[in-house]
Amino acid sequence: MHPGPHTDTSDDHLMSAYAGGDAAAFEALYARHQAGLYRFVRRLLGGALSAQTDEVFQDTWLRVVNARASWQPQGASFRTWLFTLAHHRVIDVWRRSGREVSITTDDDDDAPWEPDAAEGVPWQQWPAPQGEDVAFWRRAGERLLACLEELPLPQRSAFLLHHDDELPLADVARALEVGFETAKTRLRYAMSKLRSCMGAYLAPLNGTEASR
Amino acid sequence: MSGGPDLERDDIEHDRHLRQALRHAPDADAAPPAALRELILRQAQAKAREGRPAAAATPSVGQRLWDWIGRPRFAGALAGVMVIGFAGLLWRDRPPEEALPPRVAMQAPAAPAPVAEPAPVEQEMKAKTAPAGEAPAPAQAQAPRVEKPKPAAAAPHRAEEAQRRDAAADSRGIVAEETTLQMPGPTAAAPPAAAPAPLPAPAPPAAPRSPEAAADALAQRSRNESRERSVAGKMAAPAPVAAAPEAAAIASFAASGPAIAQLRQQIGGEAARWYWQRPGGPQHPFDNAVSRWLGRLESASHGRWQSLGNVRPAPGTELQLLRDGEVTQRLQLTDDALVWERRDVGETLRAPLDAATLASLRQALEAATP
Repeated sequence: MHPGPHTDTSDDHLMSAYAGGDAAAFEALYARHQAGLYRFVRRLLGGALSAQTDEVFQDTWLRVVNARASWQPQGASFRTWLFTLAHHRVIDVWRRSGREVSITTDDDDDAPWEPDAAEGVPWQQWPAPQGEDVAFWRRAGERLLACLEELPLPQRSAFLLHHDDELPLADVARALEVGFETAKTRLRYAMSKLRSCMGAYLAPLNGTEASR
Repeated sequence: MSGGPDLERDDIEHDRHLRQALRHAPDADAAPPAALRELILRQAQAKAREGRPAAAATPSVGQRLWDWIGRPRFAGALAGVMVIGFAGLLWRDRPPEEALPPRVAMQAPAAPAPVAEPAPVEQEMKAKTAPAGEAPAPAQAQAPRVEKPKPAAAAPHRAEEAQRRDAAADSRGIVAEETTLQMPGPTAAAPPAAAPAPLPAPAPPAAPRSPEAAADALAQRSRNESRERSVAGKMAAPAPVAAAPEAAAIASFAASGPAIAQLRQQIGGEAARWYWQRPGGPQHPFDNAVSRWLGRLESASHGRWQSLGNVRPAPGTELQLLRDGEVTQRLQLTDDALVWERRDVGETLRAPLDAATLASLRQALEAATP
């Protein structure tokens, strides 16, 4: 089960090798992308649908398997294609879930929402975290996941593909099957909302760089 | 991500922080269960094993086999359709005087005709594929067992093309999702069903092969299990990640920005590029009447917007706004709310309104868009 011989091989070559019957090539592909794909699917599905992560994850790989004969490297990378497949599956699950998706229903939002700032102090001016505070970043991570839950799916996928999976914007557009400008707009909106939602967690670190 | 240098610096800084937060999120180390990994790898290996001979043989033998199996199956139906169409055409060419007297009996000769001579005409017709498209109605009547009309239409297509079609259909799924929002179907039964349908379509080329069927069965089984798990999970743990007060606060952030006024401003600045349209109706250049109606929407909905996520709104009275020929905004008056789908942004908003306001807006819309 060790994909050793394929360590330096490109995804495209691995996929071609797998189409030719090399099972080890698939294992290498799987090992390379499984963590990112699993995380992507899970975050895209969100808390309410996270129970279906395994299903979507498996289904995505099965589609890779079934498409092996017809797959050809064209334009998009294998990784982009893989995430496109997963994105489609997630959309299916969202559709199936239908009304189960929670609707935001709080009413007292006449004014734009701001995170729980100290009274009178805009969140931008909150004290910044000191140094590499792992606990701080853990809380930031938790907060970010909660903020992501509130993004519409198209914006959530644009953000995750770009920030978590580090796809270039052109590939994000390809994966979402929208135009470049649309992908950019979605990402911009996502970022804007996340900034607002994350509040102090995005404040400057007073010169202390977050490493890692 | 544009703006002055400061803004860009902020963007970069924020991006870095968001990435950092993502890396430390509680689910950052989430990994698929080992059993799932084993299952996927086992399936992949099984396919690889069968793929070896198949890869060499399939392009020629497999496709020919498919043609052999596929063609005759649909050729019969096609030929029947063509015979009916041909007979119909012959009959239609007769002068009305001839046709009129046996008006009642007319259907009788028409019906046996196609049945009587399918065999001879079948061969003639095989060469001519064009008429096939001309008689869609008989085609459906003639081929009730054609559970896959797609292959019927694309009988000569090869496995590769079928898969490509599938991939295209996959992508169409998203487009369909967006376009079907215009349709009145509440759960959008047709289009969402259409999206998953093409996906199993890679099966057609492989359908005759038993391992494919086995894999599908496996996938189906796992799906069912997951669904069960999902239901069980929901019943067991209703609350998502965020704590209630925080989630409530977060929930409303989506509502902070948009306003119909902004949309009106945007349209005002480039009015020539905008059109309005009622579902299924023709497009009209954006005009003052619609602009005034948007003004009414603005005053009725101000400060009430909530993010709807991706939830499909219930059907209702609707107006679409097109920019450069593309529907970018959909405004819908449902039973209890104004729903605004901002397609350019990929988000749907909802402003709950009382029945009287909605009725008046509905009336105003009818007046503004006769």
